[in-house]
Amino acid sequence: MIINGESELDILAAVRGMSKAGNAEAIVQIFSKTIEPLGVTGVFIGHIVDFEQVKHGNPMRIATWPTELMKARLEKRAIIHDPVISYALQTSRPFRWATAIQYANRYGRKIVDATSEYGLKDGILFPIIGVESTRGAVSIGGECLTFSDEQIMPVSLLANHCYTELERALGPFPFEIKATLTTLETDVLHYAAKGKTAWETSQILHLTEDAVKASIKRARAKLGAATTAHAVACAMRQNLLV
Amino acid sequence: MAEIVTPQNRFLYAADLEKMYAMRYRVAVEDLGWSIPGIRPGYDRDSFDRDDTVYVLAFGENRDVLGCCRIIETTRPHMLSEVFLHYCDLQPVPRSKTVFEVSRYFVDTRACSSKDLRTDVRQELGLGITEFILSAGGTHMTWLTHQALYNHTISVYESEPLGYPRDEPDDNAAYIAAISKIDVHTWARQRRNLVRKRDDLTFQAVPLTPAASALQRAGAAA
Repeated sequence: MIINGESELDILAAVRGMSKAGNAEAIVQIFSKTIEPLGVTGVFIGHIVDFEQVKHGNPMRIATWPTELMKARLEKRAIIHDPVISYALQTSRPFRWATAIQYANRYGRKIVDATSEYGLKDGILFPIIGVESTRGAVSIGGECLTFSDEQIMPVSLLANHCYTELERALGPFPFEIKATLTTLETDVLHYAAKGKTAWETSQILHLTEDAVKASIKRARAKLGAATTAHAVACAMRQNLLV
Repeated sequence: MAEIVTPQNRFLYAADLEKMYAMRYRVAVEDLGWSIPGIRPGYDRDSFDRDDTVYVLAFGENRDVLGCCRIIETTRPHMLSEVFLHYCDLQPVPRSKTVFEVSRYFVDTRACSSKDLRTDVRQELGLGITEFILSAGGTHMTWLTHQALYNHTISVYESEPLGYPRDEPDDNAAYIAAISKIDVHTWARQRRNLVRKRDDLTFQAVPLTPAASALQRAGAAA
């Protein structure tokens, strides 16, 4: 139990409640209700990903924000331009929206202003970090939050449990599918990345040029790439080229 | 491949434990920047590495130790009760025959260059922990870790915090103490996830509980 000024939060009860809730709606409700005394009127919980790289399913995006705002943000692809989201990918620590907004460009500021129009003027984002990278974010906002610095860490704990319980309730997240390339496919992409033509690669690997082209084609298909350059970029992003 | 080192089979693992102490130093002191009192340079062995301490070791090629963790009984002095008591401000420090403390859970990122290998090692260590605690009649484990590993662990085990996150300025991370439930359902899920990829699991250094044995027989039959 935290007793700090006017706000009293029962973090442990909320953690236990969310673990027994069983469905996403109940989990978000417990989370929202627990932090309501801090002036929070809206929460957003979601994966932070480059949506163009998600090949199936939909990333998690749950919010108690107004539907109209969510729709407008989706249409404007706000997740790509929102300075708060961009900042979340650069830090593992919770931060106030204002910290990120100061770095916003003109388009980012428009996104922020559009959110403010719905009464979400002040907020804190909790990056949800995994062992390898940032997985997502829990962003809470309102007209004016009454958070003390001491309350950020307990709420961070709650945000992390909320996120994990939601992932559990909603099933596995459609992370980018990792292609499985054969040694030959990896080799031909490796040489393509070095600027070698199919003929040059065929000379290096003692293969026919057609065999190299066929391997590149297979690799492209596995990576869902439109061109060889695209395949190289995809393979590098997935750490397939060592 | 991971193996469980118990007091009964420790004589088989003397050389491996030496490698583990060296690896722990590399990870804890050199990579994470921890300051551990009372250890000698290059060798992380402290007062909790006792005769009754159990280890799970994940091995790579040439029997390099890629990952490790340490398991101790909470009825005897353990890290949360002796060193990190201040992390338990939500719930009292658990002390019970059925609760084991897991610490020094490390993956050697220098030796595990790929994300896939690191994931494998984490899964193997996790399964080893669950399997040992079940086999020893345990029901829970306690642990203290940084936020990233906390998130990973609560996604595997049903867990609740023992205290609020506390910033460790030297480590640039918040650390959290927690308790997790260990049951055969978690064990079966962990094993299924690994068996999909591996056929060389070599756990069961100690006898399984009847329930775990039954599950394993069912799994083998399927």
